[in-house]
Amino acid sequence: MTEVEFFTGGGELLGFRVHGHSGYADQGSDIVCAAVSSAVIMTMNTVTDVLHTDAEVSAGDGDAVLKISKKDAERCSVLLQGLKLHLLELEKQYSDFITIKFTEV
Amino acid sequence: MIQVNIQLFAHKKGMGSTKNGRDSESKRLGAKRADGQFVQAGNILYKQRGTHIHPGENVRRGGDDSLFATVDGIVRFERLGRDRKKVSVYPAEQ
Repeated sequence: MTEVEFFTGGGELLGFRVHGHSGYADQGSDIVCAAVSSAVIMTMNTVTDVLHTDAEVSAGDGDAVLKISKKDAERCSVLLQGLKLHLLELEKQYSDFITIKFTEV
Repeated sequence: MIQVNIQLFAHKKGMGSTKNGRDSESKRLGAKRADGQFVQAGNILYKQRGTHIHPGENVRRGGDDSLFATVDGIVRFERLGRDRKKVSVYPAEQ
């Protein structure tokens, strides 16, 4: 099960942590993992390399973290809202493999 | 920039968790007294499911199919017909 935790603050999205193997299938055929990984990594790279924010990012086996500062929250809002919408839709279809929660920070 | 890895959240091959690994608590079935052993009335002789061994002389079957002695005496495991077994208890000679 892949667990997605969005960090929120003052009504804005301030980042996320995505953790855990989805378990849908083994590596190379796990379409759920591919959908989540692709969306999450695209978001992280857009925040750092397109919007040029000084966000804190890390990604390792089954774990990815993005933390943006409050001053960048508004600039990144559209992107993070888009990711949230995308993952919520994926959760509806693959609820046994993705779970999403929101944490105020 | 983060390297794009679209299998970041996938199980590595061969790391899949097994779906086995469950078992019920063993019920310690089988013989509880040996042939030729002296037993008292009420002693359990054989714990089983179904009638792997049938009750013989002075032996009865409990609710869980266990066989128990109804008199004091010596245990005898005997044949029952061609391919079955029974256990009996014969009172010891006075």
